[in-house]
Amino acid sequence: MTDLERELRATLLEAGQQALFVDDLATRAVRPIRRRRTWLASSLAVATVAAAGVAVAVTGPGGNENAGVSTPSTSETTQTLTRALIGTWRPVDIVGFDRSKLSLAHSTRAAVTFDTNGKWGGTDGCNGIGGTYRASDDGTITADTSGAVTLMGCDNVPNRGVLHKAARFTIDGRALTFYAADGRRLGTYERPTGTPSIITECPREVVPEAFGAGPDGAFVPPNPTDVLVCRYEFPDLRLTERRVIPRTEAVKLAAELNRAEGPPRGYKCPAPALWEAWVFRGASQVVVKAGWCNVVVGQTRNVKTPPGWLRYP
Amino acid sequence: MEFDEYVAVRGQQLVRLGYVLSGDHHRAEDLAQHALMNAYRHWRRVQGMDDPHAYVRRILVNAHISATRRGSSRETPVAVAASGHSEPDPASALAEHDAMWRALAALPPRERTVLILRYYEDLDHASIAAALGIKESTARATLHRALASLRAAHDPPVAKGTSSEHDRP
Repeated sequence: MTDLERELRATLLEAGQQALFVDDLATRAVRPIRRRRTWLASSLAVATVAAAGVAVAVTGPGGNENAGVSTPSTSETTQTLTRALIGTWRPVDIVGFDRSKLSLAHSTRAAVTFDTNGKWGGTDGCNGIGGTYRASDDGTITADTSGAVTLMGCDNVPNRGVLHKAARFTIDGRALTFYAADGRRLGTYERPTGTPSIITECPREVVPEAFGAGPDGAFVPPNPTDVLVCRYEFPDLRLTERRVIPRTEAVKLAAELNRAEGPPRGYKCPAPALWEAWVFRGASQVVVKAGWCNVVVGQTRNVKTPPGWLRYP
Repeated sequence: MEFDEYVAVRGQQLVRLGYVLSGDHHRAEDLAQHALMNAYRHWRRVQGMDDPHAYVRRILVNAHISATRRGSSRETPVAVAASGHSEPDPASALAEHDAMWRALAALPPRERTVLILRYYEDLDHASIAAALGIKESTARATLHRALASLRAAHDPPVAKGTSSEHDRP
C-alpha cells in the first residue's frame, strides 16, 4: 500500500467519524417521516462541530501512535464522572415542563445520548437534536445546541433547552441532574430501563499500548487462566454480551494471537457497531483487547479503540 | 437477524458511509434511511441472504450515485461546495484544510465511490463490483484510474511516497 493510499484511508476514516449519530433509524425506516429541515447553526458553529471531531485512527507512514480519541476535556486520569455521563438518558423531570407530558407516547422517545467523541444527540420526542459538548469530572458541562434540527411540532420535550442552559451536572446512582450557572436545577434524567448502570468485570477502558508486542514479542499474556469476552454496543458502550473462554482454549487463543503477524486480512475498518474487549486474566498483566479496527502500517499494528477507552487500571 | 437488530448493529455504519460518500450530514441520514426503508420492505428476503449488509449497502451506494447523476447540489461533496452549495455544511471548513479530501471530492462520483468502497469499506474488487452492479474488471480499472487521478490531483510529496506493502486483491 502506498503512502497515498494510507493517507486516503486515514482521510476517509476521519470523515466517517464526523458523521452524526442517528438514534432513530429503525423507526424512521419503518415509519418514514418527511421532515422539514432547517439549519439553525451558523457556518462558524458547524465548522466548530466538525473541527471538534475525533482524531484519526490511522497513523502516518511508519508512525507508532496508538489510535483512539479522548473525550473532550478529559484526561486519562480523570474520567470517572464524564465516563458515567456517556450513554443514553431519558428525562423524568424537567423544570417548567409538564411532567405528565413525559408519559405521552411521543415523549417516551425523548432522550439525550452523550458519546465519547464529545457529541451529544437525541430527540425531543419529535425531532432529532444534537451538537457537541464538553464535560469535566468536576461536574462542569457546556453543550453546543446550535446544531441542525428538524422542526416538527408536538409537546417537544425541552432537552435542548436544558443542555443549552446547563453549566453543571451530577450523577447520583441512575439519576443525572443538570443545573444552570446560577445553581438552579434544570432537569433530571435517568437511564432507560434495562440499561446497566454499572458494568462489572467487563471494562470500559483499554490500554492501547498493550496491543503492541512487548519486549518478549508477545501481544497478549501467553498463559491466561481464561479470557473474558465482553461485547459492547457502540457508541453507548452498553454491555450486550459477556462470555468466558476457558483456560485451555484461552491459552490456544493467546498462542494464536501471539503468532499472528496481523489480523487475517489486515483490516477491519471502519469500526463496527459492536465492540469486543478481550480481557486476558490470570497473567501478570491484564490485557484488554478491543476489537476489530486493526490497521497495519509497516510492521506496526495500530488498533483503533472505541473513543474514550484509554486506560484499564 | 431481525430488522431492529440489524439497524442497531449496522445503522450508524450506514450513516457514516453515507456521510463519507456525500459529505453532508442530512444527506447521510437520508441515504441511510432510504437504504433501510427499502431493505425493510423486503426484509424477509434480505435477512435470508448470505450478507444482508452488502445488499443494504448496495442500495445506499446506488442511491447516492443516482442522486449525483441527477445533479442536485445537495449531493455535491462539501469540498467543492463553493460552486453553488447553498447550505452551510458541517464538514466544509474542515475539508478546506484537507487536501486529500478536496482531491477526492474533485473526482467523478463513480471513481470517488470506488475509492471509498475500497479504502473506507475495505471491500475487495469483487465486492466493489457487486455493490455497484458492474464487472469486476471494470471495478478494478475504475479503481486504478481513480487512484491515478487522485495521485495527480494530490500534493506531489505525498503522491511520491511508496512502501513495501502491496495492495490487497
